[in-house]
Amino acid sequence: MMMKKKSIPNFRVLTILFIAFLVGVFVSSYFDIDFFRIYQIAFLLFLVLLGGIFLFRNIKLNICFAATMIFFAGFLLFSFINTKLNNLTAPFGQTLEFSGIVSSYPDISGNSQSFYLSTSDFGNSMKIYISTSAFPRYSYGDAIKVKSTIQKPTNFSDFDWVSYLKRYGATATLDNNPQIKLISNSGGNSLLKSLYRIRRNFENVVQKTLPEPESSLGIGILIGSKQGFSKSLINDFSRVGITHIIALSGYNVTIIIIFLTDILLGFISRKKIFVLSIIFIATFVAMTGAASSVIRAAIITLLIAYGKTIGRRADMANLILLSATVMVAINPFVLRYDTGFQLSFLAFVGLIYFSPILQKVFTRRIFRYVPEFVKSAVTETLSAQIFVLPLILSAFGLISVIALITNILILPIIPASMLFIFLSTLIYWIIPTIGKLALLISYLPLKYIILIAEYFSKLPISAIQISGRWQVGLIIFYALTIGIIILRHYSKNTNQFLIFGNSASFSKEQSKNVFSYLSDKIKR
Amino acid sequence: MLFRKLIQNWRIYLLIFLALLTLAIWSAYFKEPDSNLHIFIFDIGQGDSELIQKGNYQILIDGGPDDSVIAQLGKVMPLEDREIEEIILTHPHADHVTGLVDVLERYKVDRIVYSKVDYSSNIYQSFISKIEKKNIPVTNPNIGETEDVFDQGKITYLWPGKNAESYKENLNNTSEVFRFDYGKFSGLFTGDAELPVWQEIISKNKNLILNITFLKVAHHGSNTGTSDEIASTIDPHIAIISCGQNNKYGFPHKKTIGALEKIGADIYRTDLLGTINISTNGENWSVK
Repeated sequence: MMMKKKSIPNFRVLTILFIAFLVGVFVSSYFDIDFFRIYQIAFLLFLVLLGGIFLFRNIKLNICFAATMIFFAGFLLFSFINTKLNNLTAPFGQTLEFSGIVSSYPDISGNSQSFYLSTSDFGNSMKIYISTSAFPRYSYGDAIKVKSTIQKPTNFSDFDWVSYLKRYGATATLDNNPQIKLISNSGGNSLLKSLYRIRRNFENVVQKTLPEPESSLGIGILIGSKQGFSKSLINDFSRVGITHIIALSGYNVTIIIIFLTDILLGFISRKKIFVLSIIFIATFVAMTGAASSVIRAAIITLLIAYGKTIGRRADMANLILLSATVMVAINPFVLRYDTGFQLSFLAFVGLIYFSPILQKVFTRRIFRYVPEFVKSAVTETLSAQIFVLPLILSAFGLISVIALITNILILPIIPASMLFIFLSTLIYWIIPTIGKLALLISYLPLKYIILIAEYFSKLPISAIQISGRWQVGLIIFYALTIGIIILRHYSKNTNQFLIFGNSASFSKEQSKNVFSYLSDKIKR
Repeated sequence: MLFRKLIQNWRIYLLIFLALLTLAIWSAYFKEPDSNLHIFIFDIGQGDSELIQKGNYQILIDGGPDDSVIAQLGKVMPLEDREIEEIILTHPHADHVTGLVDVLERYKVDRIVYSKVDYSSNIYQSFISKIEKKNIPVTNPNIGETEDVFDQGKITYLWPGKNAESYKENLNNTSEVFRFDYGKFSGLFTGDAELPVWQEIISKNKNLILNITFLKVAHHGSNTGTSDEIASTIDPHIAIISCGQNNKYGFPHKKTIGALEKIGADIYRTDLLGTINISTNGENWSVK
């Protein structure tokens, strides 16, 4: 745990290196460079920089050299993986029969299902994106025979489809209506397969018991999926700014840790709880298809829990950067091509750095009579929303104006509904008849959420569309304003100067978060 | 954070949960159902799906072109009722069968009526294999066969009986056509039946398509499903056309509308009005 509290320069050096790596990957994603053309030059450059580190004794200069090296490491990593994917070819344009194994949990929407197929019929092992009719359903691990024309993916006018597919390691697609024949269902990783089976079973239980759209919402808020949502409902959700409740977030992971800690503390030791948490979170991450946001939350939460277990406090900036670096190192494409990854990190940064500012505002006298739950809902929503807003604007061009109100109305009942659905499913697995009735209870909060979404999205001012021309200027102006607010706040309170300064001194407000709750629990 | 505070109180939530559970269990015993009969013509886009419902008894006719029938059922069925007593599939075209596969997945279905006509499409085959997997009894009634449903409902099948295979060149003409009676109220469900079918029915069973209160206009209002002669023979009070907004076929056809206007029927369209609900006690009826 290098980023733990050591002398100040040491862990800040790490911050710089993390940033250098991420910037390297980011810059590289704009160039489609053949790795095998540049790696020799890069190797020389590495040697020069390494030599520089040994030659000069100046610490600042050495940090610069190291950062440059790491920058190129990131740059090369992306171009290496990109080149590798680019070199995977298949007989594009030909109609062929080939076989492979379904390598993802099929995504079902409306009349179609889509999944990735691993095949090695064309030499190297490669992944193909397949979209086909919703029935018959395929599952992870199915070995299938496909007859269709193999296509090289091309970008849509407003969407980088090629890079999106590369993010999942896929470099080919098929013509519409491929002929598919199931051969066997014995492929795939057996552990993952049984996890997916549990997931499908859970989905079936909820779908069989609750009517639509409540059943899709129930599944969505517990394991994060948009499956089964009608287009109009998705649209309503984004107009009123509550799509995040059906995207997996830190909530889902934190809930697991908190329950485990709460229930198990007193029976077994902290370390055992920590190990159990790792197992449960890993299970959850695998089961939900490893969305970026969950992995982000899992890494951060586990690192903090680990820090508390060994009695040390983590530096938030490093923690965020470390988890981003780990994820980007595993899959460099997430940095630029995964909106979920970007949203998740921005929202988290907002929660950490902006919520203290808002909390301070709320200590003023005029807010005396504002109930506590409204205050925290506002703080939480605003600080996350403020940071993701530029991204949402550039990605979707739509800003929800009433997100604040809807979130105040909805957020407080989310944990309870998650708990209800979870418990009811457990009961269902033991005694189905009681479980059915139990799930009907979850119907109430779910119905409430849907009513709110439908009602507020009908208001003419619920969301505004902003055209492309205005977006850039607006985003720059916006980023500047927020930057100034943050800098002013943190420079007045030097001991909270977290991004650049002393990590040892967390302010009181700063520590008011889930993690300190965790640490309190574990210390007790 | 807010979330933390709420989760901290999970023991209280557990109590609330248990209290509500008890309430739910008890209230399941004391529920007063709506005593009227309802016929819903669902707004499911370009396709067909209708539901006959009385209390906890449902007969679903077709499932529409996608899974949106699930949401429609969710809106009108009693919350705790996850059982559909009967499904009637008029014919295997995708705009009629697709939603039914989802229905079979999510609801307990007691029996199914369809012509068993041979047709190889992915979705129709999935429908058949799902029925086999769940072991649901299937019947293919003969022309003139009747079936009693709930206390005083009666279904009389008019088409295709044994004719399905010989008419399957145009699958629309294998459509299940049936009359539904409830007290003095009667409805005629027609699937996508086209003129040859109507000629057969008029020549052999004309008496069975008289005195009709409600007509589900055949083939989404296409002129291949309705003519002046057919409209004036059936002479319904209410004519309902199930078709999608701005559908690519241009349904309903203006000739159909003309024929229905000529006989003075009240015309309702799902593409303009959304889901249509006919409510009746066997004497009077109302349309919403």
